[in-house]
Amino acid sequence: MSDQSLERIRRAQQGDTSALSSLLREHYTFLFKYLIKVTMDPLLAEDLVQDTMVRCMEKINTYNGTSSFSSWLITIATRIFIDRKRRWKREAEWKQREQQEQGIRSIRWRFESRGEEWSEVLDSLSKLPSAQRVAVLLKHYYGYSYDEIGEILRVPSGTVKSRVSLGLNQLRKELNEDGEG
Amino acid sequence: MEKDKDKEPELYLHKLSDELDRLDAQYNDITPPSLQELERLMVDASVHRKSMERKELLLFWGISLILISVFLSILGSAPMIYWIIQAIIPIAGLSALGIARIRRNREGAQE
Repeated sequence: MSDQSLERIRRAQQGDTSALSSLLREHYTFLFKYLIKVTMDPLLAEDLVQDTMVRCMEKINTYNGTSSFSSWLITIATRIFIDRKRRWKREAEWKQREQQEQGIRSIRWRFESRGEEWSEVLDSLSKLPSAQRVAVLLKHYYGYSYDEIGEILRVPSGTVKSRVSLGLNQLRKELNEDGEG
Repeated sequence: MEKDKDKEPELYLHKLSDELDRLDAQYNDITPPSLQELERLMVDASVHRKSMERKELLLFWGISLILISVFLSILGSAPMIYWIIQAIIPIAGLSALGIARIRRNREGAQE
């Protein structure tokens, strides 16, 4: 982390709102891109970024610097997403599926409107259960260890290992099926 | 052949990573909110939080007063019922906590 960022964090913890604003602005794109990959839904990602920013404002004093600021944001954002998913359990399953499909259509449209091909890998990733998708992303894209992911998700590292392995197997299976089909 | 099989997961993860980079690139042009907007969000969030805290405190006091008056009246009129309730509440609370924990673990495994 740069000295400038550390100084901003220190000032933000002392109640300097402009330091906190610029810190959040600096990490906005990173956070949004993380949440796009986690949710596969741009609208939901935007909503969750906003909630994460608010939570970060409330909890900035609890940040102790043991992890990078971006990892801290990832932890907050992931937990907010998991809480949101739990609340959605009460909603009808078809409604959730419809929303998820709408999100994927929106990302797909973005690819196609720029003349780029939609990817089978991303399609398969979007079909994974969210817990497996988050575990695969954190392990194989963001490079966290199983223990670190366990701390982020508040589950034992053995559970993370099995989610990653199940997720990768599922992805491989879907891609092989698509390749054969 | 065996070597190709060993390399398969690596190639596969490389492909996954490339595709996620491509997804990221689709959103390179998003503009973060301005500093003024973020400061306004902070002010709004703080006002909202304070009003929620006030409401929660009032609710807490309201419920506490009702419970205290109910229990005092039961203690005055039927002390036996009062002691039975005193025994049931912690048992019910602990059981509910245990059930909620088991359910949450199951949900976590299924998600």
